Amino acid sequence: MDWQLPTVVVVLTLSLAYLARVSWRTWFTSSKSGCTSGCGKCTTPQPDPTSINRIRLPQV
Amino acid sequence: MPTLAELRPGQVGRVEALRGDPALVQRLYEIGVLEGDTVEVLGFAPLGDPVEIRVGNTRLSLRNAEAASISVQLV
Amino acid sequence: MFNALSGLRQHVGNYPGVTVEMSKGHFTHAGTDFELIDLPGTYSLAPRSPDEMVAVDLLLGRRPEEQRPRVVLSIVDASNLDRHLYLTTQLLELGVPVVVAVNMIDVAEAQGVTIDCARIAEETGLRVVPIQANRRIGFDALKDALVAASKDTAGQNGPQLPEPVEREVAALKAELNGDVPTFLARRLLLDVDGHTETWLVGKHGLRLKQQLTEARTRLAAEGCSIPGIEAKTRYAWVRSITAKAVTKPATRPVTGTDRLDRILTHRLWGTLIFLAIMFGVFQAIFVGAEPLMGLIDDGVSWLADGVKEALPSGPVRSLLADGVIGGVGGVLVFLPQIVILFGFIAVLEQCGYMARAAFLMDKLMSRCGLSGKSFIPLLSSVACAIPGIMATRVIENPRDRLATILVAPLMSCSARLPVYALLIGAFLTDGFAWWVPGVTLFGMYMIGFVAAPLVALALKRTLLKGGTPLFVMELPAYRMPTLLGVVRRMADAGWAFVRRAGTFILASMIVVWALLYFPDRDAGGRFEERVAELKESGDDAAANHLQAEWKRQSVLGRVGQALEPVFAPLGWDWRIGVAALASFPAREVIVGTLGIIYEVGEVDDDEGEESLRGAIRSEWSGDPVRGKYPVAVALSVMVFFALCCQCASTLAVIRRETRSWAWPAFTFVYMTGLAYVGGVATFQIGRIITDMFQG
Repeated sequence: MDWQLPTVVVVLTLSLAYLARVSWRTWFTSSKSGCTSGCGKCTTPQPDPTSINRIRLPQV
Repeated sequence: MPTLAELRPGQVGRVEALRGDPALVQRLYEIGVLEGDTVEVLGFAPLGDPVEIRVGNTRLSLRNAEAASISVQLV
Repeated sequence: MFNALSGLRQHVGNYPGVTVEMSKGHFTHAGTDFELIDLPGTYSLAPRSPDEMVAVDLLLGRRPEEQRPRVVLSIVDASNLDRHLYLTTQLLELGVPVVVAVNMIDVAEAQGVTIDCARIAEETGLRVVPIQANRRIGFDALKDALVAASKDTAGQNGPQLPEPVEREVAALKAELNGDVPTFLARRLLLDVDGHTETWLVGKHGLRLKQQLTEARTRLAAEGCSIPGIEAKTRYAWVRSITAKAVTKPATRPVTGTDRLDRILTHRLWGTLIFLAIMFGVFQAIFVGAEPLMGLIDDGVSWLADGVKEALPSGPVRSLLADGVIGGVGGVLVFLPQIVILFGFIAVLEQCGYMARAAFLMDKLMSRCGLSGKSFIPLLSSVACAIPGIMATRVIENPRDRLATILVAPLMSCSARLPVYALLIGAFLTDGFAWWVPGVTLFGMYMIGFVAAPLVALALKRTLLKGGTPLFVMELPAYRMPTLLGVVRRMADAGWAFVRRAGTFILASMIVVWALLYFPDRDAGGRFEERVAELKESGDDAAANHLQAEWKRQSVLGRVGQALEPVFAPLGWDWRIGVAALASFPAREVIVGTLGIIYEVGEVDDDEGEESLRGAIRSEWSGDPVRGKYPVAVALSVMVFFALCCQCASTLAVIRRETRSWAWPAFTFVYMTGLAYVGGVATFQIGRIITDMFQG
């Protein structure tokens, strides 16, 4: 029990720090990776062949 | 002279003139709806609007209000 | 095409002052290094907005961050050659060498159309290369052409506008003291009320506007009326070439696309099929995912039990077993459903059905002041509102774009799916007809689909007054989705979900756990130990009572109790309310939070059903309100989630895209208000209906 409480406090602090950092990046920088959403859209390239020279109907 | 909006599905018209909002007219021109081209009406969406047409090899979707800018001669 | 050339060597370029991002890639061929910039697809270089202007400026070398391109690659679609070559003729005015790639040769041949690229090259003096981008055919020849073009010193010549027009262009350019290149002076004249005109008239005053009007009147008198003369000239040139190089069959053959569209865009059948497809997707999400979900759930329970045995009682054990494993594990259980959802999304988007759906929905959209063009970004938001919001960039009218952005979060995004699935699974499955889960899920999505246009309508009537936009949209040919493409999308979405669970949700769950765990003792000693003692002595009732007492006096518990009057009209108790509050960083957190509050770990589950479902059901059945009206309460929670904006990332993207703090704030406020009202209405009406049936 003696080691448990400090461990939890450390983990909790790290979590809060992580959340703070993510929030900062989401709101205050314009990097594309600042989005915490789990949609996978950024990593998925558009399917070939794309609608070229057309008003690009965006992909879902 | 009827407009495209007045044609029924299956009817084909030859474009005579384009009238109306310059931005719309320009867009229609860019897409290839030119005087002398034929357009075919393919159908209407559930509530009567928009109308699907074919111009050349392209299927387009136009509001009735926009289709009314295109005067056609029935073919 | 861009991906095919540059492979994975890509990154995105941001341009200050506009929302446009252009992808940049690299490739090397025959010793030459190429940097590739992917410009947004368009029908013509007539800029209609600042975003489109960026592309034009870049091509003219007027962007400070970019060098002027050495070569322009114009990709034309073989089955729509005329229209695409229209843009090519505009590109020829830039004075930069142009290479033409004719894509989708196979599709054209299937329609009986043959294209003689060599003949086109001969007639135009351009390098013309046939390709098939999806199969990577023709790429070597294309790259050779690009290398050769990069050594050219000048561009080629395309169609010339009639002499009167060019005369006026030169006059205007002189009027502007040569401030702008000829290309832009031409656009100024040709694009009535276009972006160039707005910009330059703004800069030089109304005198310029008057000169423009006079010039246009003069030209109309000479038989060169604006805007028609540009299209006529360009298409005449294009058609003279295609007449020589393209052979078409006498009558247009009926293609597969035609046959399909006859039904799918049919007023009645098309709509019915659309609804049936939606229902089918949702039903499949439920049924198809069950076995896998059971597996994951078992795995999670096993892991939690293992931790409980391995560690002595205390905060760390609870943190790991309840907070981490229970919390994140509870969310991961929904992975199969997410993957199935994205599988369907990938198929629908790749086969071209989305455009038809937009067509069917356009009337509804236009009644609400939007166009079918808004429909696709909104439909994208079903996966996640963020790419949906970014997809609104194709909407030219800024007011319509804003309206679409502000309602996009209402379209139930995939993060809401775990909530729906959990509650539907708990309260609307057993004892109900087989179609109830699918229909209910469909209903939840419908709430978003209906609310979005209605809210947009309200916005367009009040804050964002403006006319209904143009709707000219192309319906591309249907194509078979590739298995690889679909699987890839499913895998990407699944992996992104897992990663989000393991990072953001994990961190949030740890914090939520802590807020529900501490204070962990009172005058009588540590709660955890006392509860365990009571359990061991067989006094389950007292153990549960103490357990509840513990949670109630925790930090989050106290907040929940204080807010109970707010939750009551919704039919919620403090537990549900706390779980809903906790899910504001990420919606899925509610699942993990409910898991902690209902102490799933202690519930013995050997029925093969998901343990959290069982725990919630048994907890609610003992409660006066929730026991009596479980379905009404479940629905009110779901409706609340359907309408509430619990995603800081979405709000952040709204801020970025609208460049103001007011709009994300507005979105948060209106959605939360709507969600509350919706939740209350759902519960109260549900309660009345339940009473009617039981009374």
